[in-house]
Amino acid sequence: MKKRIYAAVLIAALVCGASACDGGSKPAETAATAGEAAVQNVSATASEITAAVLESVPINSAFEKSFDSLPDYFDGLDTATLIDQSYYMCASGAYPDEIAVFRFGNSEDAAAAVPAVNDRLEYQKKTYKDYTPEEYYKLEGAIVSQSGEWVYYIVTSDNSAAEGIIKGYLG
Amino acid sequence: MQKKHRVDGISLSIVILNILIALTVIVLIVLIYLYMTGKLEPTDVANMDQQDTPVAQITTTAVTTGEAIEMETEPVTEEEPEETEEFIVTETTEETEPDPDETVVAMENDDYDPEFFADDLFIGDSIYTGLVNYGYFDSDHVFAQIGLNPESARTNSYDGYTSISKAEELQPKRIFIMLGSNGLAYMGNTYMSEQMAMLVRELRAVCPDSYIYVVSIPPVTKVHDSAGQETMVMVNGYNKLLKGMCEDEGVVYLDLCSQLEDSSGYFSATYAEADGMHFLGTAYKHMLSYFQKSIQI
Repeated sequence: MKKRIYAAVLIAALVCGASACDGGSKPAETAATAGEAAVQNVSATASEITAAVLESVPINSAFEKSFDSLPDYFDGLDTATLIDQSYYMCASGAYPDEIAVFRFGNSEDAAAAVPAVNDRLEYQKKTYKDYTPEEYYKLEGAIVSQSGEWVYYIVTSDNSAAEGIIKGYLG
Repeated sequence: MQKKHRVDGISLSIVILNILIALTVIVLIVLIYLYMTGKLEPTDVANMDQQDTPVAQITTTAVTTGEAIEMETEPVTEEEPEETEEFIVTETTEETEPDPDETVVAMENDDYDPEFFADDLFIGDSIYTGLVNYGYFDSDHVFAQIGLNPESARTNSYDGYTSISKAEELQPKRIFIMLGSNGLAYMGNTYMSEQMAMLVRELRAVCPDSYIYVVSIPPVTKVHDSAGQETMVMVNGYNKLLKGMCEDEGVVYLDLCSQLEDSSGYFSATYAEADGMHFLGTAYKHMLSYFQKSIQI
């Protein structure tokens, strides 16, 4: 009798384990699919990329700036070489958070834009260093990077997570 | 006996081990499911839920977070770019939710004509930077700097301009000055009020045909007040001095502060950024509406 009980319990456990494995595979598949899509989606727009970042790393009072306004924030940026862009900032002025993703016609144009983005970062550092010292860590860990014809700029509460998402799109 | 054990291949310890493994897997699955459905992200979800209603009432271009993320944005071309600046709702507030009825009434009454302010100049601190950041006005009509106070507005240059030289060059029809929030914690209300009086005189000297409006500094939230650095006692004390200064100088005082307060006298959650001092996007429209109505009366 005991053997039968043991066997029944074991079978139940195995069934549960098997079903658990089935259930557990769904998120894994989803993750794999998302990753696959991200890698394949090299034609993703800049807005799609920033939207994905904001979904995981929110910015207070996030507001997307227009193409026309870019020179106000990125002094020296040659907007004529841009073919796509998305730039979100904390519009209230309370926090230094912002994300920009720029796509240029070629990697040379992208490289030429990097100094303008670095200048923006330096301006923000100078502005916020004494204004909100508790927010300064976002700027200290800010990321300005070029990936081929893309340039991205990240000032958020979790810069590495934001960059991970962007790299998922850009490879 | 030994043969019997081998044949069965089952022992109590193996059974228990299997059960534990299965239970662990089940718990993990439940956690993963909750995470995937967003139930394990209370901060993000709460932020979105809190702001959906009020922000969606700002304008017809306001969208919820979900809509914004799903929205297809055309890649920018060399053609005339479309002005599609949009609110994406990730704002947080540290106060309790505003009364929905009060919010609706306030939003419905908020209306202003951008043309009304077409020849005007706004001088202010980080709060006024939102006028440009949110796209209400272009930077030519806003002299605003993060950290600006009544003294530095007179003395400091930014991009080659002080507020005085900016006004002198623009010769605006009206000048709206809102300064003082940055100095509350360390400058002293009397000193700031005196600096504002000097600023008014200097602006009047270079812009004799301009109407000058001194705007009260905005309230702070109850939570911000509790921190003690900037309190409503300080805000009200400074605004009282400003009002008296305006009477002495013969310029108009605009009491924006009372327009942004809730029923308890603190910065309303309808308009307050999470830090308790800055403006949400809703507040700018409310402010401009108040300015226009106050001046037209």
